[in-house]
Amino acid sequence: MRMNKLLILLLVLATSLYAADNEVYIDQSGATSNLDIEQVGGGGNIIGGSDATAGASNMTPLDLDGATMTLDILQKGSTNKFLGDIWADTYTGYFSFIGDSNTFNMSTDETNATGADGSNVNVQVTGNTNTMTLNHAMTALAANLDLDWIVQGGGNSITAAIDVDGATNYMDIDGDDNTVTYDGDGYAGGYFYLDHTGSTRTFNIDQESTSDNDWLKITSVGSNGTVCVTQSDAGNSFVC
Amino acid sequence: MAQSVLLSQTQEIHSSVDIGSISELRGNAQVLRDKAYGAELQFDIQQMDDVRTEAGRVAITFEDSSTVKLTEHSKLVIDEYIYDPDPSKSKMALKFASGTARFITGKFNNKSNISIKTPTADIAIRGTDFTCTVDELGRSLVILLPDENGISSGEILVTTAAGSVTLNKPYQATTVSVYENNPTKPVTLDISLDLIDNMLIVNPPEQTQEDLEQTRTQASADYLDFNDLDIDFLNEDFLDAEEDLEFTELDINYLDVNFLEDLLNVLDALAISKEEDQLKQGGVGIRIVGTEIGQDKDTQITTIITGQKISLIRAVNQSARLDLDGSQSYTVILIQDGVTNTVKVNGGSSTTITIKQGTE
Repeated sequence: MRMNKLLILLLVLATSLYAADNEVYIDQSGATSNLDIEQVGGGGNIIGGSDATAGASNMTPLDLDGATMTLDILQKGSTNKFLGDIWADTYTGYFSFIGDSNTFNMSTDETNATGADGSNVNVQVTGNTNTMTLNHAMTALAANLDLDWIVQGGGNSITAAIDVDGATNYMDIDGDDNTVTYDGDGYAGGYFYLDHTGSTRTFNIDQESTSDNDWLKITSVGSNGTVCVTQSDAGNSFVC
Repeated sequence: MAQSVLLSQTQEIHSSVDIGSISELRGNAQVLRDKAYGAELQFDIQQMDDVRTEAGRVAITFEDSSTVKLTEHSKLVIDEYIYDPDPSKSKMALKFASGTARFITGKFNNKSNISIKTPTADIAIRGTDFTCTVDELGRSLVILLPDENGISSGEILVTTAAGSVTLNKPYQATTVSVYENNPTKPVTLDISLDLIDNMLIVNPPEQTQEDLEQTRTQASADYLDFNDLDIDFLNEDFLDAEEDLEFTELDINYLDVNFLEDLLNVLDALAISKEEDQLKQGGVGIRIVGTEIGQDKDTQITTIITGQKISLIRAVNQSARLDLDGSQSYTVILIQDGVTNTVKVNGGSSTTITIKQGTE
């Protein structure tokens, strides 16, 4: 594992287009690569382009292409940002954020250029008032995606949009005033599990796969809040 | 035992007098008399005719201008029809075995002489316009429609061996599962006349049967492979059951699930309001408004209280289950295939849970 990290750091330096002290820009291609990035301490660190916007391959200059990658990202501190595009089938990602008021905005293959099947994505957040957005395969199908969230803290906003095809979204969230927004469109059924503890919760869950059953299980311990669940084969969203 | 509607039998003696004709036709339909006739416009209808639609719709207009419109996969037998200037001698008796039909009565002054039988209910006419739907299991749904002014077109009396209910408001509806049970309490549907006219609310029988079986199988699998077909309900002495006996998941009778809701999947909402609180089960003081504890045949929600846990289960064509903490308060809004049920636990409002499922 240690050797891997050393190799990865060299790779990062070799492929970086531009890097400031607290900013990491990457444009990497190639299958089966491993990437390990740690930004620790301070605030306002950025992985990706500070002007990147979500969707349609406009998240560069963090642009990771290649199947079967392994990504290990750690950002520790406050007001950090991770903004990036990933183009890959069957990649494994570990995204860890420790601190408050961080922003995580990542898209995986929004334009169906490479597919987004079979990935194993893990997002772990410890802190408060973080904003986490993950779009996975907005026009492709995320067959057998395994997406896991572990969030500990309050006032966080977690948004996931997936073009599901047997994808599983599991969320373990502890804290008050958290908001979860999930949109699972797609073809075959999707699985949504939420295990939550905390008060004043807001959950908006939309499952709209067209050809199979969608499954949902929410366990939430706490008081007050709003839970809105839509399961529609016709793909019609619903506002509670 | 349900009332039987025998469509395959024809009486040997019947009048050959024409009593009406086919006034609208779309797709295929048949009239069974001495043999099967393909339906055509202006085809004359006689007593004891057995009218069946497959992939088609047909309207029959009788001498008194009464009209019966049949949608796809419907079966109607005209047992008796007499139209006489003397109102006391006029009579219409129909047997409606399956499908969906809209009945618009005509010049019959004495509507008490009009009767319609389904496999599970007798319908007495005091009004002029209503629909009736009968599914493959014989269960009946009756909806009273408004007149041209949007007010009630009269009254419909739906009767079984156990009792009767009266529909007297526009879009009031009742369902009957078996002839030995009471019709359900009337509810008012949030639909329009155009919707009634245009909706296709009957699935092909084979497909529907398959869906029913599939749904039951899935539901059974969800509960430790519980198979209600393994239970001989005739040997169960339900009269011995104590009223306050705790309702558990094993008590759910999936045969009581009202699959006629298939036929309502285009409705916007069915709002059922129950004012009475359901108190005390298993010694736990939990207030539930909007559904009854146990298996509520009106809301089709099964409510199980185990200690402080409240389980709300509704599995018709969509399946939802909520396990709630009985020490908290909730408002649960459950919308499945256009049918809305609102359940308040301990007064509601602290946490609002809305679940919408369906193809709409």
